[in-house]
Amino acid sequence: MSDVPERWSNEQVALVDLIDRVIGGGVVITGDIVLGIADVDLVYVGLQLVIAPAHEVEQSISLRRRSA
Amino acid sequence: MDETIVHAYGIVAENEPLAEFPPGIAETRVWVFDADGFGAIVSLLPVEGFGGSDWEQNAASVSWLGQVARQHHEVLQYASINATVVPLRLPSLYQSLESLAATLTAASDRLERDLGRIQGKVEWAVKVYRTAKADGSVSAGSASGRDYLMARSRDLSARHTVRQQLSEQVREIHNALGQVSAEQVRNQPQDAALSGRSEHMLLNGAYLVSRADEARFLELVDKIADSSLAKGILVEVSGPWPAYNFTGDAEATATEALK
Repeated sequence: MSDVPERWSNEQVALVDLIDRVIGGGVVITGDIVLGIADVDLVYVGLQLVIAPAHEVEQSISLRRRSA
Repeated sequence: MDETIVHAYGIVAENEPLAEFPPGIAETRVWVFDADGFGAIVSLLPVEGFGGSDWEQNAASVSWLGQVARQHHEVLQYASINATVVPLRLPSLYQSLESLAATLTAASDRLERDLGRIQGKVEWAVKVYRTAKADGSVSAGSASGRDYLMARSRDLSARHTVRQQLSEQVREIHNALGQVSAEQVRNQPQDAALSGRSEHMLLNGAYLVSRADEARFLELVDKIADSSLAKGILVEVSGPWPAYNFTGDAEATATEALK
């Protein structure tokens, strides 16, 4: 699959997009689960207040990754 | 050995050719665990640092959660480029592989349905921003109070018209992209404080596009982007994403904003 088109505005996916999808979307399969989204929903709401400005955090994350 | 806990990233059909995963959360090794006709993409996380209470504490830290979300996503990104994968919402932790297998069995109908829904398709994101302010506020130096009020009233109705035109244009863009998509959804526009963008977001759309239609979809996005710029509308596309917006129950997926 070498011809798969890709479009990203930056080298790294924006944190706000990531959080929106990884925590706001996707499938929840409950059942024999230890920790699921229900436990973190409140955290997410709190996070939205905390997260700004996302671009600054974004920079610190990419710096950490580079030095890792 | 130290105690571990199972983190599941996503679900694929059995026997998908996935091998070269990037490192998972906490740099753990990622592999596909076969269970009941599905492949669960998993890695083992140390309980210390990733147990339930750790999550509740750490998830309040943006840098911690951002890092975990990124690693979760990178695993899914790799998988979705090479296979059809149902992304699991973060966090998704299980006591053991056995308990994960039992969960998959219980959810097999839903997973089957989700895999079928996104088979051969990927998610693309299109965001539309308003670049021009075009507010044209009334000048303070109007000759008289009456002139001022008239100017202000013209001003308000002009602004109202601009807003209506914009929302109509955005609707047209969303509909046009929908013509080349299998499914589409309008998510809540992102808050400027969260995105760090100064432009006002008018559309936060996600589109489930068949692999066969991807080139056509992107051509259309480019065409729309080119013709919109002069109207003060900025169009941005990103992808392909794992199908975060097109899997799971309706109430579990992102809120669909009304037109």
